[in-house]
Amino acid sequence: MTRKWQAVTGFSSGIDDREREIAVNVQTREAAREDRDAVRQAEYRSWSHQLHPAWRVCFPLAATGLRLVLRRKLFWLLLGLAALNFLFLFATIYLRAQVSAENPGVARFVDGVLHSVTGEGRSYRDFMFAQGTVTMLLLAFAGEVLIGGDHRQGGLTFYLSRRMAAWHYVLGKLLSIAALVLLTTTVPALILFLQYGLLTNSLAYFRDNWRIVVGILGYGAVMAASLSLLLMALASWFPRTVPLVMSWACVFVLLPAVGALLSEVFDNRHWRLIMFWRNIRMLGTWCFGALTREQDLVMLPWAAGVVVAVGVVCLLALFPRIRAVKVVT
Amino acid sequence: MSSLYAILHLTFLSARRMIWSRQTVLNLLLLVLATVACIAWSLREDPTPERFVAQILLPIYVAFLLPISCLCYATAGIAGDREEGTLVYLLATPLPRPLIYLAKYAAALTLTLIWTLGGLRLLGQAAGPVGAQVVALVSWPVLLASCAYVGLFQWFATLFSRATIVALGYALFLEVLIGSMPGIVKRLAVSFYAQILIFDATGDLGVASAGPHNPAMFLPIAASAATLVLLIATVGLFLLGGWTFSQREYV
Amino acid sequence: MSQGSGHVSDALPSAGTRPRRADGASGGARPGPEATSVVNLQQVSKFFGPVIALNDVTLQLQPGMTGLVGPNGAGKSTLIRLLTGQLRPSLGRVQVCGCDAWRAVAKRHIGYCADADAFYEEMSGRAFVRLIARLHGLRGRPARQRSEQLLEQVNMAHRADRPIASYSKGMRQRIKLAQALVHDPDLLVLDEPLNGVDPIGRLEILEQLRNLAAKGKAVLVSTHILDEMDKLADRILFLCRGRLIAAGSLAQVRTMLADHPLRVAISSSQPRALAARLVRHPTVLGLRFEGETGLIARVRPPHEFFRMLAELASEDGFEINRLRVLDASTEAVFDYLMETARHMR
Repeated sequence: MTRKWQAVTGFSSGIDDREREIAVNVQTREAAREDRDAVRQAEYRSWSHQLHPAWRVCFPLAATGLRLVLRRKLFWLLLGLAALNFLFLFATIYLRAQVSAENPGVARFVDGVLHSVTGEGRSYRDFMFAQGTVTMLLLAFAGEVLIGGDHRQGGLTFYLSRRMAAWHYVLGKLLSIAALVLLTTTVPALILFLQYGLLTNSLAYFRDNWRIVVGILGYGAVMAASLSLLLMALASWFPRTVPLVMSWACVFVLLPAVGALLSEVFDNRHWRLIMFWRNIRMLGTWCFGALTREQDLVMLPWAAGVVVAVGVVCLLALFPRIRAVKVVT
Repeated sequence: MSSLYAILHLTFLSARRMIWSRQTVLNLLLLVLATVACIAWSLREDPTPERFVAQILLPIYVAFLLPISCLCYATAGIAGDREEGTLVYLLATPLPRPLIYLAKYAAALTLTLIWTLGGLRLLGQAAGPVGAQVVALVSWPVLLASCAYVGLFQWFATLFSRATIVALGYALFLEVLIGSMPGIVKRLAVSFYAQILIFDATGDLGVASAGPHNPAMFLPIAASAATLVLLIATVGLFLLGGWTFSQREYV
Repeated sequence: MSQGSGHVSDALPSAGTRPRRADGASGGARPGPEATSVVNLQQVSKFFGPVIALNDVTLQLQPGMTGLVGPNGAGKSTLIRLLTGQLRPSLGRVQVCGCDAWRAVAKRHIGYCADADAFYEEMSGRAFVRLIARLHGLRGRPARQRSEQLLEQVNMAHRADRPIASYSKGMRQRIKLAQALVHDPDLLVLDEPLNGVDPIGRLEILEQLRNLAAKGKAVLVSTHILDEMDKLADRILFLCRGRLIAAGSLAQVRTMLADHPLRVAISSSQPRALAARLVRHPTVLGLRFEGETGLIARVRPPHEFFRMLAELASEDGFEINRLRVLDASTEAVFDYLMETARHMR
């Protein structure tokens, strides 16, 4: 209101001009102070920098996507489910270490019974593979929130009206999905590896098993890259939850069942290549250096080819859907 | 009478929207994939009822196609309207909420039964004479399980804003987890009762050995008890869903 | 009428026809405003967890046009959702035409044009309006006829066969309005009905709303376009932080806010002499010239100023050609009320 009245001017006939002038000055100063306060409260700052290159928008986009997912209670519920397996192994590794310190014979027995806590590459691979079911649920949820929501509620228009190209958007979203995959698979596996090593009597475990770290990171990278591409493509074409969930479940449940059946009926291992999750696992096993069977080594290039081909198809399918304007006919 | 007319219209509208949706296309795609698998299975030299149950019916149909088909229509009815923001139009009509729920339920159940029973018949035919023989015996268990799943998933839709994800988690994670646990905890899973009824119905074909490798872990109950449980679950979940829907605020 | 209290009893005279009772009864036992009220809120509060969205609001709505004004987060949408039976009050009672608003029977009396831009996108506008008519119990031909009549009324009849997904924002608003009117409700609740509507369409819709109010319907319009409230609403409800801080016609509310300065434009043939007299008076807080003959005074309290001005004109012979209150508009009153609400904290 003060701004409105700062235009009050001096009045010459019959009043005290000086008094009026003082009043006007006071009002003007108050208005200026209010303006300054408002600017300070709004946290405006004078601009003194160059704009970042456009590709760096991927990072805030990924961070925003992650925050979107992390805000939901359902995410924490699913993460809690994923944590069950991790906590079980964490406790078992600790108990094994405790028992082996007191009675090495019992430790050998435990190793024989529980293959998941032997500290070998396969243990970590199996753990990451076992996280797959919850990761699948988590990603179905994330796909709907991160990508489906953008398609349904105009988020795409919002993003693409900024200083960013379609591929910046794609990369940002892929990063946020990949981060979720790593959060449920790779990070817990690395923690278990650290725990296992720290509960031994020397650093020899870390020195002797450096390949396991490569394996965990490699398997995680393959999972993150392939799953994020697949999810993004599916969620772009099926932004609504029900179709997205159906298509996602088809890839991870029906196709493996059909693949196993066809492989058995026709006695041909190549049918197993339609089991996408298994292909990723095979690549992961190779990263751990644990792919030793001859028949698996033969199938490895095929599995890698399928994973790469699916990724390329997803990318090709993705870009026609990343448009700011939807044409309705 | 006007309410009845409106409810019928809503049922018809819901069913029509569910049919002409992407989930129907995907459902069809899943069914085609399963059918291809069945045709391939029928080409094997020694098809037996036991193998059909162990390789097709349980892993592909009961564990996946059945819950997914139920999920895609049962949650889409109410959760779809919630997601799209169109539920407000229905709640602004003078139709009592339990009747709106009933209309959605009727549409979802009708479509689901057509889809699950029709799909089952198709798979049976694709698997050859053996498949057809088994399918003819397991329609009743599938019908009961479908009704229970529809009731459960539609109840989820009244409770959770992301009911589809919750239903998926239940069908593909919780049921599998519970089903592999020892003891009586698996009696919380719909698929447990469906399996009991399937083994019971196909007992004469010698399918019982297609069941779990460790029967002691499975701890089956009588088929009549399983039927009763599924019927009670269907009615109970329907009433629970109707009550929840009539009490909750959807904004 | 009171200011700064949750309890506001709107003292405006009732107009138009008496609303039908849901149970078919012709009237209630109690006389007074409640008996003719279409809407009756009694000490209504609504909590969302620890947040109080609406705090102890009591009001009645009579037939006619009522505006609902308030800043973001004031509780307008909560009030609307309570009125339309989308929400249930945590405390208090919400009745529409004598029925609990939550109950299905009350929905016969309520037409709701929601703010959310949600539709069955694949449907045509015509099919959508017809669907809503059928869900309200209209059958076959009557549903078709009523839908056509309303599509004509909102000027969408010739465009109603296209899928709603292809409609512009303005067209979607018209369809929303048509579906809200399809069952001829006693209470029409419109949440931002003019959003995205072009100026001509806006005039058309406003005209229709005026006609409905003239026919005895109670129309509640929530809008941020305050200018239109001046022309549109018979009375206005001001909400702030979940409280109803004022209700009544603009003039009534403005008078109620006598403590606030008012801007008055005065046109006189002797502006300088008049200004010299005015500026000495304690009710005049500021003055400035406007052109050759105009003066704009900032006054408080207004009624004393007007009395003094009348004396100047009659006793001292000042010629007052024109007198105009500049900020008695909804926007100005809104500003004042929000300022008051801030001081109430």
